Amino acid sequence: MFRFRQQHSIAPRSLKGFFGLMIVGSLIVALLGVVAVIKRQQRQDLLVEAETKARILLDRNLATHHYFNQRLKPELFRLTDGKRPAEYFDPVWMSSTYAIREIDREFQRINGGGYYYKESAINARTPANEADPVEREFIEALNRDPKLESRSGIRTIDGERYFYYLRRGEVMEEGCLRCHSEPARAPVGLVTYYGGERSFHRTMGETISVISIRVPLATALGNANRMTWQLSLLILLILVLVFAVQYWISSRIIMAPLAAIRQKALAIASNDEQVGELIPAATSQELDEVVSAFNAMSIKLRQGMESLEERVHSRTDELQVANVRLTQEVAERQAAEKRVWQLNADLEERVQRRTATLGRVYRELESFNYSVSHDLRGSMQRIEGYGRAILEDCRQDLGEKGGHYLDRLFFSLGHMDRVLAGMAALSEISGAEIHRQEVDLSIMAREILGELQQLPGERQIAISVADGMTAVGDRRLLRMALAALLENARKSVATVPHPSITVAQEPSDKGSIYEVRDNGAGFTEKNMERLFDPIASSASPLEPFGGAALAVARRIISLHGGSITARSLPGQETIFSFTLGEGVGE
Amino acid sequence: MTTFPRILLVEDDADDAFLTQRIIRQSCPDCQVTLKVDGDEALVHLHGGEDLTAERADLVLLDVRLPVIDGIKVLQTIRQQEATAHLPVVMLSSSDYHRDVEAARRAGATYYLRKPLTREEFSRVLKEIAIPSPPASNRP
Repeated sequence: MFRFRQQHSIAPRSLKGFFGLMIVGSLIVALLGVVAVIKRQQRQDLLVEAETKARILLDRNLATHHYFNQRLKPELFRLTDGKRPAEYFDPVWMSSTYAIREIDREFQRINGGGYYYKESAINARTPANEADPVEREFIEALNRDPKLESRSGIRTIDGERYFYYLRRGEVMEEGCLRCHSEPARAPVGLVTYYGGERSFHRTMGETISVISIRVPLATALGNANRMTWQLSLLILLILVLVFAVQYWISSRIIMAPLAAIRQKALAIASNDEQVGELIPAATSQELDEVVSAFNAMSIKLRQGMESLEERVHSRTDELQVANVRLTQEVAERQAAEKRVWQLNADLEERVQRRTATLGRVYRELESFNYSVSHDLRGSMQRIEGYGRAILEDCRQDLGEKGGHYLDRLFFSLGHMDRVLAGMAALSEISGAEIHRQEVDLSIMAREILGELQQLPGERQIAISVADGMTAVGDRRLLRMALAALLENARKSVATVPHPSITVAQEPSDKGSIYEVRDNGAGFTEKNMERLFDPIASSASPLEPFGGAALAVARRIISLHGGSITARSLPGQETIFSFTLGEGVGE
Repeated sequence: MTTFPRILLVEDDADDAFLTQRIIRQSCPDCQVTLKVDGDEALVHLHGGEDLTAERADLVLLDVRLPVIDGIKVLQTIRQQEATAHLPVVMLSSSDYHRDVEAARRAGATYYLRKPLTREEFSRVLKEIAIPSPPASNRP
């Protein structure tokens, strides 16, 4: 089987489109990846820078604290010792925290960059230093975890983003408690200045403040985003350029040769004349191999077509010759069939004519037989009737000799009558149709023997009929055959002192064998030969049987597909045995 | 039936008629026998002629083969007429061909006897038709 078009579960895509899509997709992915990496790096740089600024701010303020506490305050205390009243307090030079706060305020006024520095505390001495919720939470965390020192991250406050840095601030030492434990212990001036509520009741080791620094990120982020966009655009332009170049290259090196292959393949598919044409070599090695393979296929196709055409021509010639021969054979066969049909028709007609002739002949013969038989028997019956009339009415005039002559006359008439009756019966049954049905032979035999027993002058005969004898055959014809055999047996036992007739059935592997047995005189070997001869005559009145009746019985049995045999022990026993077949005999 | 039955014998052959009448006389000396030689005459005797007179019969002996109208047709006519349908009819024939016996039976014969008629057979017939009884032998 040849498949000329690949079956696809989905429609095939354009290679050019596929390549284009692949390149564009790759470029977009690359662009997004680069932009994401750059943006991430920028963010990290931003945070590092912000943290650096925060640390600078912190260190600067710590330096300020240090200067105040190590240099300025001691010097000023030394210069003013003895001149200050006991309750004197001035945070301007006595509180570094106050100084830093004021410095930061000045810094905010000068710079305005949004930087935030605060030494926040819970219940701060100055409300300006009160910790916000984030700072409060960190202070509480510091007091829970002595190891915690700092925390940083990004917060959004009033819509602006900030880098925040929180660091552990002031931890109460012994010296600090004077001003931060009980108000009574603090300098009067401090209490007078700040009040007795704020930043008191501190404990030893308690972290009471956190240094909170915030660096604004809006500007830096804006710069970073702007840079990201610029960078992205630049990369995009580069990628588009790369895509265009790649596309142009692929079109020239890949698509163009493929298009050439496709066009040539279509041309070959649509026009057999183009089979065998070649495609020019491609510039790339891989496509050149494809082109070479295609050209080899085209040449092979051409050769195959030419070879096929040659074989087709040759086969066509052979087929034409064979067709002519076949047509002749068909014509001869039809002629032969016609002759056979005609012969059959002739034969059928002849058979029908012969059958009609045979039927007519048979009917004529049967009619002739009937008429002759009837007329002959009529004449014979008259002869017998007058004979009896002579015997009865003229007995005294006849004498013994005349009576004997009449006896012989009656005997011969009886024989002739039996012969004619037998011939008539034979003629009648020869054309009879066999109507097969199941027949109870036991009942039939008893009926026939009963009728025979009622004939005038009949002696009592010992009769034995087996029960349950059945056969399949024509009821009327079987009755005729059985009646003939039983009549024959009755005549056979006419002279024996203790006559007996037996009807029995013997099963065998070939079907049932029916027997009519009598203990009569039997018959000799000589009579055996003519036992079933319809016109045979017996020499002795003691052997009045045989002949036409047995011929009729044999004929009927033969019509049923069976056969009949006889055996006899003279003076002892005579047995007639017959079988009945399933088919129709001759 | 009357004491001296009237017997109609239909027989065309003179010898058969003589022999049959002889047997009738031997068996029934007082029987009145009327002989007709063909079927037409027999039917006229039974059913009457133009003057519509009809002789009666108590028993019909009918030959199978008759001129003009054969015995089977005569028998059928006898059976078709209401006045004679009940008559006992004995068919007489030289043969006992099955087809003849069967035709006689279908036509309604009471007995079918082969010729020559014997005294024993006829006596049995007379005896059977004198009283209602089941059929004897040779009755089709």
